[in-house]
Amino acid sequence: MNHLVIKLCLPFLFLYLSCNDLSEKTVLPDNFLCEYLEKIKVDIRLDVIPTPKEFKNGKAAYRLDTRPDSIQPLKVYVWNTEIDPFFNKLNKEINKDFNERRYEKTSLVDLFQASKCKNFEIKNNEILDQKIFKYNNPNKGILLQTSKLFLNKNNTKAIIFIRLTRNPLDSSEQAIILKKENAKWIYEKSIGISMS
Amino acid sequence: MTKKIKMKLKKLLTIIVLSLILYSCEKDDLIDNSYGIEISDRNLIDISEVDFKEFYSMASKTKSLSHLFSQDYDTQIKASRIIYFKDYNFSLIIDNAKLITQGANNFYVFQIVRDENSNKGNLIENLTIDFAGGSNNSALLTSYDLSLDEIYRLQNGLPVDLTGKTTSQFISIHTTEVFSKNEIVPNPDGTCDELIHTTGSLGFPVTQVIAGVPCPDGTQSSGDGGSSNGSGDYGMTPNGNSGVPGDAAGHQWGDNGGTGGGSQNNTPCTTDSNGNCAGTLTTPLLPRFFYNGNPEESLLINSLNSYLQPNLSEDQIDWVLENVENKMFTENALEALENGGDVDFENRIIKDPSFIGTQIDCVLNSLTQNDNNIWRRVSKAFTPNDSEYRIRFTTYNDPDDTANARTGLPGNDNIINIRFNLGNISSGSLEIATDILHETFHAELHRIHLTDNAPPNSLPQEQFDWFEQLWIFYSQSNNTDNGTASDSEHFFISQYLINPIAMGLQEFDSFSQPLNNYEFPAWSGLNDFGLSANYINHSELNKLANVLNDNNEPPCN
Repeated sequence: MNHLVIKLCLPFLFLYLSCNDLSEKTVLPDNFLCEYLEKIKVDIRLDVIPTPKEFKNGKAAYRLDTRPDSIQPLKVYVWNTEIDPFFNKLNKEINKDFNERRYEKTSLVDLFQASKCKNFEIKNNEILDQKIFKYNNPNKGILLQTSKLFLNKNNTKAIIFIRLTRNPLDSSEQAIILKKENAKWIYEKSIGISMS
Repeated sequence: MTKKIKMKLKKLLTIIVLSLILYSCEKDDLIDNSYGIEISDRNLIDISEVDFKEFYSMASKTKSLSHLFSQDYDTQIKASRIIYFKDYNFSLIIDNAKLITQGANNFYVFQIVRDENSNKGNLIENLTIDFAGGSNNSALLTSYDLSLDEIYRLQNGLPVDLTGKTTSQFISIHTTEVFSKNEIVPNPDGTCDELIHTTGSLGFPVTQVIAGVPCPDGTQSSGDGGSSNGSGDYGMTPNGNSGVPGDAAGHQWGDNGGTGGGSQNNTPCTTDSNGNCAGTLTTPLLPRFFYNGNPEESLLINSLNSYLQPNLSEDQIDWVLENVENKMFTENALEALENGGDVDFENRIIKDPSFIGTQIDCVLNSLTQNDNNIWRRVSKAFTPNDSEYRIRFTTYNDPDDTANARTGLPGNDNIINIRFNLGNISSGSLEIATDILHETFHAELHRIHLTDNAPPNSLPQEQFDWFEQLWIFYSQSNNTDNGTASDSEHFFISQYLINPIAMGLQEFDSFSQPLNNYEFPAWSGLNDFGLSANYINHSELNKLANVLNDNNEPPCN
């Protein structure tokens, strides 16, 4: 009898595990995080901010198109400890969409392709060292933390939460939403969660 | 299906029971033992216990009060703990009396009892004696006719609307006659109210107000109530590269703007038989909420409010009204109260239960109670009448989050949440004070941006224009609204607010060190911006570092 139950249950168990395959390849596009950090212009060293006097005289803020050699690539410390998602900080519509969701584990370092990521020096940070925030540390950089990647029930939307910290009083949290179009995942928008 | 429902019911029941337990456990937190209360910026009120023997000795030697306090204290009062006033037909309870000090004014507030009250057990009465000295002493009798449910709410720190439930009248303490007659009282808007003072069916006085009666000639109010909308700006100057040790030129934060208020010498006044001003009845009291969970003190504050009302300026009265009319704030405040939190109604700061009692709360209380100049300025917009925005202090605990605190943009309720991370924040109170000032400046700059530089403390136009171009620049960077706020505000703080933050820290630390010793902590979170824009360089930061090493122990350490 017991064997029969096991035999009957096994296919269902297999089916269940297949549907919740946590090892499924990520939907995030190649080099996604590197492009995202470029997109949000996380490296403020490239911003040229006029003084109030210069601004009064007509000079506007602008950003350098390319990073000059005098500015080293920004060190991005990727902390592999996953952060909790902030679904409760999102609006009801998004929450509803992701009410029934599944998640993927993401290998963050793989999401940066070093060869295509020239403006950032990606460092895998197993243990957080607070010295990376010190202004006079040659290894100073920005800390990147992410959540798991969540997919909605219909596999049409994906969301990942990230936290970027330059300093204990300079940190922001964002939700990045991707959508599937023509069988391809593309960036849709990001939503600010918090700042410090 | 039934099982599921049962399970859900069980969960619901567990949540309710837990909530009730937590609520009852945290009830004590509602009581703020620090009695620093601000009715307005100009009227700091302190409440303390009355040493009755000392009061009695003082009152018995004061001509206008001596007839009331003529018994021998040791033989006739000490044991009974009450004083019976035959002429007024009530007894004054000498225990738990409070001294309320407002500037040079001293108000002694006592609870009174009457035999008749046994027929109407819910009546609560206070006698407030204005100990002004000489012949100017006066007394206000305030009665609160509350239901048992309302008393229960008071005892549990919940607000009660006093509309129509409160009566008050001045009594002449000079002649021992209960003040009782009709009078016409002009209002600031030119109308008049008729007050009819009678003796209630149970023997205590009742005042009926008939609003909007014709004003007899010569009784119209002529005062304008003064003005309080000072327009002083932040007075901020760019930090430049001046923030290095040895630069003793501290930047001024700017003046505080108008003093406002104005005198209210036009206070309606009815004279008693001795020609003394007996004041004006103010019933019905303006409804307001209670500042803490202590019913006795809440009542005292209400009693005092009614007493002071003839002397309130228009903006102060507006503030009292706003307590009721600002529904957004009220709803959030009520939610905080009902969840065991605390609300500093007068300062409009909402504290989440998780915040109360923390070291951060201690530092915040220190900044508020010591009237820290910078804290007062930066939080000014979140205090009565000054803007539609309010701040709420709360905490979370996430050791994996390396931020000390977070301050998001306000939601639809106009509440700006400042969240402190208990899992990461420093245990040093100077660092915590830095975090509080840094985050509250974010809240203030959020407000400045969202209100298009509305007062109070509007930025000088040049600074505001510069700030806005930063905002536009970062919003065009495909960033989020929080990211835009973060970058543009950090640049602004780096440029203009290092010295103000340092000044706030220096004052918090009892001025134990030179101002520039506090500039290094003021740069916390801003180094990257200062370095990037050349407001400061590595060499200067190195010089600023490690100079904060005196032996002074700041508060809450």
